[in-house]
Amino acid sequence: MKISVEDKTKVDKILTISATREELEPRFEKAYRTYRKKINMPGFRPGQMPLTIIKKRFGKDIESEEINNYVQEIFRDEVVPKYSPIGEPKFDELKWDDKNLEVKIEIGVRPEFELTDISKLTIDKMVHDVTDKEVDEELEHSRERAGTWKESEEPVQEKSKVTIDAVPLDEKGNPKEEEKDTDKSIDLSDEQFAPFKEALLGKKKGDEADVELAEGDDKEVFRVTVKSVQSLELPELNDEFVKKVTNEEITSVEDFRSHIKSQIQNYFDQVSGDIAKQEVMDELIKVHDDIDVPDRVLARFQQAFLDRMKQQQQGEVPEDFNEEEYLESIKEDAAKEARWAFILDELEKKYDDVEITPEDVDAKLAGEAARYGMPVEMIKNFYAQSNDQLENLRKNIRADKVFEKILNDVQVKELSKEEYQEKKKKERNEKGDS
Amino acid sequence: MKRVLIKPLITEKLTGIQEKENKYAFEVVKTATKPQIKAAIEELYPEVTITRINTMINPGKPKGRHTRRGFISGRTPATKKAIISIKEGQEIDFFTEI
Repeated sequence: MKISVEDKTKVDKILTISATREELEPRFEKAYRTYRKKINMPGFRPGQMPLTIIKKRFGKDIESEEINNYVQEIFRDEVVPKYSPIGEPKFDELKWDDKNLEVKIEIGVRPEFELTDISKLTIDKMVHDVTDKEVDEELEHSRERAGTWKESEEPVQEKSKVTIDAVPLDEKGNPKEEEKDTDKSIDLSDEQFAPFKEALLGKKKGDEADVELAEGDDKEVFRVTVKSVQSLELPELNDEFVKKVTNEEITSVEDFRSHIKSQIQNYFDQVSGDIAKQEVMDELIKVHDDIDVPDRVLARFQQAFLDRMKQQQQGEVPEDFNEEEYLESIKEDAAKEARWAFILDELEKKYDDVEITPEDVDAKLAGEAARYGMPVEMIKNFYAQSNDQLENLRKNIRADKVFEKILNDVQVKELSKEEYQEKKKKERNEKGDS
Repeated sequence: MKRVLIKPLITEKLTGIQEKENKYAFEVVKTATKPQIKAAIEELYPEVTITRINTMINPGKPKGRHTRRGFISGRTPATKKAIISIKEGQEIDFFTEI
């Protein structure tokens, strides 16, 4: 048995395994003997069939099956430990002319690369301290949500609701009574009623106004009669109100403010954390875009993309769907993901002192529970049921921790919310131009 | 010519005598005579020399089946077997033509 290697590229290898009949003969004999016990043919007691007849009758089938086994065994015992192939190996050719066997296998090997010095990477991180103004806005919103609409004698204001009758006017300015719309209630804070707002601001109950509605080239004028004006009555911001909206969990305005503040802060922290992670990922992939991705690995990632896509379509792919074209179109993304997988491996090697403690698992579970709004016990049960899921969970926690460490190591450029948004906008524009 | 040979017989017992005594067995048409069988074999396997042919007729056996209408009886057909002895050193390969 001989294995010869041919390098197609740096990371793709073609292995040729060759063997002669003499080498395979003992395996064939053994296979015949096992088959002899199984074959049941009229005229013979089971297991008593002469080997010569078995050879003549079933020789070809048994041998080709045995060759398959042999190749797989060689692959498992010789190729895997020596070349540690990654991705899906492709068994290319199998030649067997009764004397000599030749098998070609295409495999991918892990590309070798030096992980860049993480401490030299710079990423932007959005840092934002919640301002009092934002808290005030949020408070205002919660008051508005709890507010009640009351009829008022006041003139129409920006945020009023009005009930109107509207009559379209013909060219001469005479009302077309038959198309009259009565008792329409409209909310002026809604963008789509902007023309009404313009015309009605400052009007009182019983007043009339002409509103011009333009739709493309069509123009129509309505005479609007205000029948009633409602304004939002906001509840007073006091301890009573706080108790009401929080189901008595928070009792004072002061506490409510700090509660809202911490909520907003948490939200921002989480978002900026996620973004920072994404930035690290993008940055690392960008730096390492010279990693050679073996064909076989690429193929596997492409397949994964395809499967995911099919799953999203729930098995209903359009009829003119061209799988090859699709695979081609996602090549770039698949390569990116493959690179990221390699990088992540390296990173985990680098930070192999990361350990998962039971507390981490509990914290993660609690987080999941909060996200799906389920009791922690239920989430725990779910994970306890399936080993795969548990393994996944571990992996995620590990990745999280690795990220934490990376974020400690990279250069973080802290930007305020506004600066960050500005910058992203610019980057997007540049991308759009190119 | 009327068909004489029906099929080669391959069983445990017959493979035994095939290896030990160089005798091969065929099922043949019941009315076939030894000269006819000899001619047929020589036509099919021109390279072998036949030294002796023994034939035997296997009587059909009664077969019965119980049905709702009572017992239906019948017989399996009688068959004729021919044991062909061939010259030492020569052989017939049953499987090549399949």
